[in-house]
Amino acid sequence: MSDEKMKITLHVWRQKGPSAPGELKTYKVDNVNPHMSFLEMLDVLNEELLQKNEDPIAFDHDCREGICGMCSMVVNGRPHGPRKATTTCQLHMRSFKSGDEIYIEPWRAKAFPIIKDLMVDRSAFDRIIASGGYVAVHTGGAPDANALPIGKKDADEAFDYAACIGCGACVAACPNASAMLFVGAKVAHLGKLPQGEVERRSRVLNMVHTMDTEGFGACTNHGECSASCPKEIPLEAIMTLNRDYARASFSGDE
Amino acid sequence: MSAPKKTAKRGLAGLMDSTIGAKILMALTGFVLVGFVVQHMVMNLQLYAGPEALNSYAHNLKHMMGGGFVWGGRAFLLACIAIHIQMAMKLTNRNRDARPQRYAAGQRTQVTSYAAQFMALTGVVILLFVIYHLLHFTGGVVQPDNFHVLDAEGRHDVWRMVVTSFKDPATSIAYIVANIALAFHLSHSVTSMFATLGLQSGRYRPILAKVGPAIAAFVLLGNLSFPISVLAGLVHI
Amino acid sequence: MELNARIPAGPISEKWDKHRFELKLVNPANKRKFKIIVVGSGLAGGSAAATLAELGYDVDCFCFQDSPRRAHSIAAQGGINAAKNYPNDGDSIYRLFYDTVKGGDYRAREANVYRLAQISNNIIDQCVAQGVPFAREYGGMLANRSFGGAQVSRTFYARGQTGQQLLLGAYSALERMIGAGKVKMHPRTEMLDLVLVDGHARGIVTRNLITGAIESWAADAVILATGGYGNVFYLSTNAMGSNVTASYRCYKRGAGFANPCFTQIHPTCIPVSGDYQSKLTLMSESLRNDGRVWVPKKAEDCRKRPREIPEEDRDYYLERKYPAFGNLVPRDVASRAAKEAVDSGRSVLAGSPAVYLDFGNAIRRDGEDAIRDRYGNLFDMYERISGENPYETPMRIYPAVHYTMGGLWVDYNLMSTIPGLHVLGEANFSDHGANRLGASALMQGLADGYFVIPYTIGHYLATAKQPKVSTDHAAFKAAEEAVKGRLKRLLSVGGDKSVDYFHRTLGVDILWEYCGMARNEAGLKKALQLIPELRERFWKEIRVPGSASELNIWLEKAGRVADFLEFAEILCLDALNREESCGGHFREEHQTADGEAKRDDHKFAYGAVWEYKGDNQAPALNKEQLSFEYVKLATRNYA
Repeated sequence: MSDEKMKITLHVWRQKGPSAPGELKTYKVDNVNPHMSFLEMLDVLNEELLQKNEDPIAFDHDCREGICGMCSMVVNGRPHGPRKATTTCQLHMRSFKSGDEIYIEPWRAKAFPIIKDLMVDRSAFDRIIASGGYVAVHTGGAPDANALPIGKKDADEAFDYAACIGCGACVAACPNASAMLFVGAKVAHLGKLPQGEVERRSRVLNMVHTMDTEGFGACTNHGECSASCPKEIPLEAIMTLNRDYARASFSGDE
Repeated sequence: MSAPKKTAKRGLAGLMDSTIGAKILMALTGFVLVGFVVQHMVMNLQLYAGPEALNSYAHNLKHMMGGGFVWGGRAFLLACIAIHIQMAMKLTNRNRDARPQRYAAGQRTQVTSYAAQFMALTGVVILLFVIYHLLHFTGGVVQPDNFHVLDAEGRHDVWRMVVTSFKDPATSIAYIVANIALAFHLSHSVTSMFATLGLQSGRYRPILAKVGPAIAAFVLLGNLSFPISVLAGLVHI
Repeated sequence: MELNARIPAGPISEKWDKHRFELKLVNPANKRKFKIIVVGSGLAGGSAAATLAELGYDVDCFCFQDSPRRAHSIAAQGGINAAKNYPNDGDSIYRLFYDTVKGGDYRAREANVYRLAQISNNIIDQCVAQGVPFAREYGGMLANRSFGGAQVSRTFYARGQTGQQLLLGAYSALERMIGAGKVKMHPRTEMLDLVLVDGHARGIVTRNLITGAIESWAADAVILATGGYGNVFYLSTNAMGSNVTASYRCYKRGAGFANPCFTQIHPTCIPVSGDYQSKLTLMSESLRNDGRVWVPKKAEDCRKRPREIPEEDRDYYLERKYPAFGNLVPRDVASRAAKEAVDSGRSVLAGSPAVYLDFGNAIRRDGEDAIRDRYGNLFDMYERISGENPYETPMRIYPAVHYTMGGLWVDYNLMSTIPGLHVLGEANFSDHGANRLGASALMQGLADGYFVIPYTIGHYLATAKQPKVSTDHAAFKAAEEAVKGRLKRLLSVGGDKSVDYFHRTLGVDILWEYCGMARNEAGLKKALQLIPELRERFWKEIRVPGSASELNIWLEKAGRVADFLEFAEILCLDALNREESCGGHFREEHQTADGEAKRDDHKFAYGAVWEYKGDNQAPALNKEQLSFEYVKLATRNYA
């Protein structure tokens, strides 16, 4: 491990508010330790901006261990940066080298309006879930957990889809800002389990309707979403979504 | 407990309203058009069998069901093309609107193929070519001298028309360019069609991923062989 | 301060049933007339908000994150306990109850823990019905694994992401109610004060983190589910936003704060690598099943490459000191042993404390593939963060603050000393005593939210009979003014030091140093002298740029750190007062000859509940005496 300090030039998207114009501003950060996480490097920059009485860079982050899904920035043209299956908060500066220029931008999508700088409003995802991304069971009165056996393979596959952290990298990566992978992951997760079967048709119809209303683009089957997903949700999710949607549309009853 | 709000339109109306429905329409019409393109190429291979084969095939086709088959087919294909284009425009506009502000520093794609990236462009090239091709070999508006030729039995001499036309390098190049665009279009769209229908799934996924490029290559080789054979003098009058 | 725990009479196994029957009910048609505020949307808050809305109450739910799905419950890795006894290995409700009280080093309330064990089974049923993809056996049945502090396999899990999957289950139930218009969700909104009218909790004052707007919300009852205060140590495994503000504001409004010194240090975290470090990452406890913990015997070997140090020069100190349990001793014991090794000058990381967790033996024994199969994702995570390949070189680990057992005092109904203010999950103090066993935090959060509060809050609403209030009430206006005044004060200091400087000094230089894994009287007194000094400097030297009427990340942090600076003092006072060692609280003066924790049940079998007495007054100590009728008090022994 090298402990040499790195010098990094950052070009960061700065935008005061949702309708204000934005621009890339350049900052030089010296003394970057390669063991720093990417967000810690931004912390250091914000500390420097504070000393200069400049507005800090606003960005979303919380758990900093890759699971809450809050961090959201496009680093050098890729959501969450260059490392596969890694959120920005788990990205470390050793993935870069001294003298590098790094471009940082927010997720860009009509459905994710910019709040400030790198922060975007992802409540569209919540509204999609609210429209059907659940099993409508009341608390209490559930049958014994082992009353309904579920094959290990199905349970494991359901987990693969359920691992989605709702960060929105799929939308940011998609050339059309489509949310198909996010919606597909939930539809496929619940579709793999018998518990999700009852509402299978209404769920997919309602979720896709909300997805369309929120202004996400359509899928053109490029696969960028899955390639950028920090949890590596498989493209198979979109296949399930397409199949379920067609089947639900063509079958009359619910 | 309250039932979930029924926000979505149901049935076909809902399907038509949605992005996935539009994609399904594109896939289904695309399926028809791909089928047509493939059989068109295969049938044209009769060029190599000489004037008699091709001209009699063309003659029979034209007079099948008193001409009704051809006209019915044309109408159906035209409708498919119209729907395909309308949905493509609708979705392309929507997709553009979905990201009103592009990435200032550009976007780095990881898995997108060239074919996928230029679908709209290759689509437009194909449309222009189809118009030209119809004016050329179906309507006889372009190069009418090559078109209005009859063979010994008084049938439209399709074979001669094709060979004379391709002798002109400019015409051949137009056909070659258009067919390269078509191949790109097919290579993404055929696989994408299966994906949209939710079929590119499970163990079929890797197989279907190759079907698009395979069909594209097949059609491209066949279609390019015509002008090239003529230019190279392998097929001559 | 009156501390009536309201524990129902009768045999322990019948208390909850009997109590549920005795609780007053709210007529279904009347439920919608009651507004309930839920602050926090994690396992406890999310499940409570969803369930109360299902019952028909009018619910407003608040969280500071951008979505309720991001609450820090999501980061829990290991699993959730339940007394299902599916493996048929001798588990029962009684055994889960017994293990949990014992694991908590006999500082929890028996009746609460018994109820928790009873409810544990319903939680698993409920979560499975929601579609939580728990691990399963090939026959389709749920899989269980064992966890620290238990001799049965009772832990249900979803790979290493159990917290995430349970939270997404609660979140989906919550979103369903939001979609149905029964819950109004307020994300990116931080609670800054509690409003009391006639002594009852009747609402909160919040700040909209986007616009800066200060708003009041009136209700018939308030539920606090705002998590723990581990971030008072600056470096912890908590999320960056986790804070004590909501709990502390309630404390200042009269809610008793119980056992703040009970903090849990998790032994296997990735060590600090530099001053810029913002948080610590936990590595699952399961790693100690195959990893061996060691440091070099000689301090001068510490800079050598670990593979170059021969076996005979290594000190496998856990195996040496605790031959029976070896590397699998409980969290608190493993953590203290690591500190002892480092304090003897044998840290294996330059400039920072760390010990080795070595998989060399396991890899030689079982092969790299077998180890990859068991811990692959954890090894990947370690590699991502440290840049070192743990298949080739031992991991470096060190303990870190992880969970806080202390919290606002609540009675059996989960109500604090303020009528109408209910506290759930990690924010309350009720179930874990002085030490929390693995896989029981998730159990408690969901038990409180899904299965306790829906019953007990109805009783409060049916019996409190308070008149309706609106936010026009003078108490709201006064609270709003106080909040605004405080923000203004923070903005107007105009010093030159950042919030992080004060937070780091408080957490790392004072609390971790003097009130961390091992505490003593002199150190705690020193801390109690340093904290007010630092607080004074904070209010003179802090720089908070910008204004209160906009998104202002420095202002958000400053408000939280200002509260930590006050709260830290109660934490140290509590640690000083508790002259015994128990669970996560280790007083060096109170240890056995071989360095083990020595409890004093005679003097300290009580919950220490601190009562706010005014800004420049020492808080008053109240005691809730604990009685143990079912569990036999014994010394924990792992040697």
